[in-house]
Amino acid sequence: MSLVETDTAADEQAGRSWLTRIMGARLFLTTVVGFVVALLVATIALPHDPYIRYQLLRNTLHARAVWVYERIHFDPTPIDVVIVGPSRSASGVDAPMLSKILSDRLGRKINVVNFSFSQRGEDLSYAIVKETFKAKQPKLVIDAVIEQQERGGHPAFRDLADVGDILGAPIVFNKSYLANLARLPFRQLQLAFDTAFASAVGFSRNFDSSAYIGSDLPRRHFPWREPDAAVPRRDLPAAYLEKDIEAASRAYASSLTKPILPAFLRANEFAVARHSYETIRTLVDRHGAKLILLYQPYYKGPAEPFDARYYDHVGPILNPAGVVKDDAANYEDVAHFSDQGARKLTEWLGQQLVPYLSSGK
Amino acid sequence: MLFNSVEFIFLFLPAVLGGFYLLRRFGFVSAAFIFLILMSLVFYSVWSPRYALLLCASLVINYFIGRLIEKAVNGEASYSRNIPLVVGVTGNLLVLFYFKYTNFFLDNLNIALGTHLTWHRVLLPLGISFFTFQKIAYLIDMARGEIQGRGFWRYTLFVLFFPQLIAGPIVHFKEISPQFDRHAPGRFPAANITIGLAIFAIGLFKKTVIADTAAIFATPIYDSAHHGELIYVWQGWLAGLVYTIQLYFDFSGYSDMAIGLARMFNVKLPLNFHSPLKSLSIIDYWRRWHMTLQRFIVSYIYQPIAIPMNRYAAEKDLGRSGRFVVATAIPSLTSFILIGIWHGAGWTFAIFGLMHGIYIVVNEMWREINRKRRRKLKKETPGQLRVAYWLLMLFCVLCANIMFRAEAVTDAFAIYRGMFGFNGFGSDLYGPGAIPLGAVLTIVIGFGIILLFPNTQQIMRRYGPALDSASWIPVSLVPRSMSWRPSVLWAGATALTLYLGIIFVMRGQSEFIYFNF
Repeated sequence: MSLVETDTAADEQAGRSWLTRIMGARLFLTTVVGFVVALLVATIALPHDPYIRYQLLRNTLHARAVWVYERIHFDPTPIDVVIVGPSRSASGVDAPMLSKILSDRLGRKINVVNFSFSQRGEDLSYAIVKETFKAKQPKLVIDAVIEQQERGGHPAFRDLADVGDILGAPIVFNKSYLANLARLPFRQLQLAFDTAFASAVGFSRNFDSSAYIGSDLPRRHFPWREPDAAVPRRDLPAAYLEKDIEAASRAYASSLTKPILPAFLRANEFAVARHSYETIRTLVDRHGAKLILLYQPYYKGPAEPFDARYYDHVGPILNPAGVVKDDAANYEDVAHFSDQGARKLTEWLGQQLVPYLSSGK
Repeated sequence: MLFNSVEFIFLFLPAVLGGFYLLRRFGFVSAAFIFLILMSLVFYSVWSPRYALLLCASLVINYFIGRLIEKAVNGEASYSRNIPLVVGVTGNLLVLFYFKYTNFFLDNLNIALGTHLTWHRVLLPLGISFFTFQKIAYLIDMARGEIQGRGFWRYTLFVLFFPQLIAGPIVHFKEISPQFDRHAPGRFPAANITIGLAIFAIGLFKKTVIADTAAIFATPIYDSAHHGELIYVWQGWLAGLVYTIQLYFDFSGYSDMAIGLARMFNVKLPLNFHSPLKSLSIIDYWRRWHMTLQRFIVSYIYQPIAIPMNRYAAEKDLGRSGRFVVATAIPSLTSFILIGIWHGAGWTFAIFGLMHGIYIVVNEMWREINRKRRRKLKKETPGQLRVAYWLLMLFCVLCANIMFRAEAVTDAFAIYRGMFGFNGFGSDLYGPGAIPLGAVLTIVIGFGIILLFPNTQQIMRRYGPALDSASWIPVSLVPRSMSWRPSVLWAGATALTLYLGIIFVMRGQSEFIYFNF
C-alpha cells in the first residue's frame, strides 16, 4: 500500500525523479533494510592499520597488546619461542630467564617471548599466534592450558582479532558470537576513523623506537590482574597467606563447573576453545613449527587437566604439577605464581624444552 | 530493557511485531492485545521481575479504585467519589514516596535532628514516577467525569504498553484508550511500521550518536567537580553546554523512539518535545520541554492552586503586585519545585526546580511590565533582541542543567565558580591540557542540528507523527524545511540514520537519563 496521505495526487508523482518518487511501504521498508545491511557490510570491510587496533587497548588490563604488536612487527629480534595463554602463564613463565636457560643449554641464542594475556579464552591465543606468524617464524609455540577449557571466548578477542576470525568463530555454543558480531561494525568504523586521523585522536601509525620498551620483558613488567583485585597478596604474613590460599583453593575448586554435556557433545560445550586449538594446530603445522601445551595448575589443583585426553591430538602436554602445585610459597594467590613459583616453573620448563629445540627433534 | 540495545532492536522488537501482526492476521485480535500486554511485562521484567509484580499489583488496585470512582460518578454508589479518589491518589503518592524519597527524607531528618534513623537502601522501581503520575491522572479524570472505564484489558494495555511504560510520554487514558479499540491497533501494518521505523531511527540517532557522545565529554568534568578538583572557565562552560546537548538529545531521542515504536502498532502518542532550545523565553521553553509532564503539572497541580488563589486575590483586592504574587508567583514556584523533586530525591533537583520557578516568575513579571509596550509596538521582536533573548534563555537553562546534573549542590557551585573565572582559564589552546576538539565539535554539531534543522515531527509532518503534532509543526519551522516521504532518497536517509544509530549502540549502551526518575 502507498503511504501517501497528504499528497495523493497522481500528477504530483509525475515529473519526479526516481530518487524522489513515492513508493509503497513494503518496498520502502525493504529498501531501508537493504541499505542498512549494505552499509553494515561495507563498514565491516573498511580497512585500518592493525597497529592502531592494538593501541586501542593501551589503557586497559590488556595494555601489553601494544608491546606484543611492536615486538612482532617492528622489533627485528627474532622470536624462537612464543608463549600464549592466560594470566597464569603471564605470571608463571619468565621469558628472559627461559631465554637464558635455553641459550646456555643449546649454545646459541634462543629468543623467548611471553605473549600471555590476562583473562581466559583460547581464541585470543589463536589471534596472537596468527599475528606472530605474520612477521616472525617461531620454532616453538607454547600454549598454556588450565584445569578446564573455557566455555566462551576471551573478552579481548573482539578487539584484537581479524574480521575473518570473528566472523568464522563457532556460532553454536558460543555465547560471545553475537555480541562480537554486533560490535564489529562499530569497531571497524572506529578503527578506520582512528587510522585516518591517528595523530588527531592520540594514536600513532609510525613506530617510535625511542618509546619502545624492549625485546625481553620480565614477567612483572605488565600486571596480570586488576591492581585492586580482592585476593591474598604476597606481602601478607606467610602463615596467613597459606591459610588464605588454602581456603581460596577450596572455594575455587567448588566454583568450577565440570563438563555438563555428555562426552560425545563435549566438543560443542567447549566449542570456542576446541576450534581455537584446532586452528592453532593447523597454523603451527603450516609454518613448520611445533606446538606444545603447558599445564598451569592452581594451588592444590588437579594433577592434570580434566580433559587431558583431548590434548593428545593437539600436541604434547608438559605438566609441572609435581614441581609447583602443592607449595603455597609458589603462589601469590590461588592461581598466579609468586617469584619463587615462577623461577621453579621456568627452570623446569627450560629443561623440558631443550629436546624440542635441539636440531633433529 | 533498553530501546538502544542490540537485544531490543534485533530480538525483542521483531518478535513483538511479528507475534502481534501474525495473531491479527489470523483473526485473533484479543489474543494479539493480550500478547502485547505479556510482552510489555517481559520488557519490564528484564530489568526486575520482582518490581514487575509491584507494577501489576499497583495496576490492579488502581483499576478497582477507578471502578469505585466510576460508580460514584454514575450515581450507582452511596459514597462520594472523593473518598476512593483520595484513597487512590494518597496510596499512589505513598508508594512513590516510599520508593523514591524514604532514604532522602531520613538522611535529611538525621542531619536536622541529629538522629540516627536508618532504613535499608530502597531500589527505585524503573519508571515509577511516570506510571504513578499516569495512574493518578486516570483516577482524577475518572472523578472529574472526563473518562469512562472501558474494561480491564484496555486499561491494562494503557498502563503497560511498552513504548511508553518506563519514561513516558505521560499519556492520558482518554487519548490512548480510543486507539485501543478492537480493530484500530495494527491496521495498515506496513505503512505504520515504515513511519514508526523512521521516527524510531531519528530517536536512536539522537541518543546513541549525539547524546552518548556528549556524555563522554560532560561526565569527566562533573566527576572532577565531585572529586574536588578545580574547574576552569572552559570546563565550566563545557559542562553546561555539552550536558545541555546530552540531556536534550537523550530525552527527546527517547521520546521519539517511544512515539515511533507506538506508531508501529498504529498508536499515536502525544508530543514530548518541540525544539525547546529554539525558544526565546523560559516560559516558551517549558511549553516545549517534557510537554506531557507540563500538561500534568498544569492540570493537576498549577491550576488547582492558581484558580482559588486568583479568586482569593480578587476577593481581597490585593492590587496588581499582590495579585501577581498570589496568583502567579506562588503557584509557579510551587509547581516548579514539585517538578524538581519529581525528578529525583536530592537537593540538586529541588534547587533545579526552584531556579526554573524563579526564571518563570521573572519572565512572567517581564511580560506583565511590557504588556502595554508590546501592544503599542504591534510588531515582531527585532532580530538583535531575539538573539539576546535566546542567549539569555540558553544561559538560564545551562545554569539549571548544571545543578540538575551535579551529584551535589557543592559540585554545581564548583562548576559555577569555574564558569565565571574564579579559577582562571587553566588550559593551553594546544597540548595535553587543551580543550578537547571532540567536545567543541559536539557542541557545534549539536547546536547546529538544534537551530538549523527541523525537529522530528516537522520532518515527519506529512504523516501526523504524534497526537497533537499538527498544531505544533508550524512553530519554529525552519525555512525550506525537509519533509520525509517514502522515496528512494528518504529510504537512503532513513537507512543511514538507522545504521548510525545501530552502529553507535555497539560503542556501549548507556541508560537514558530519565530512566533514573
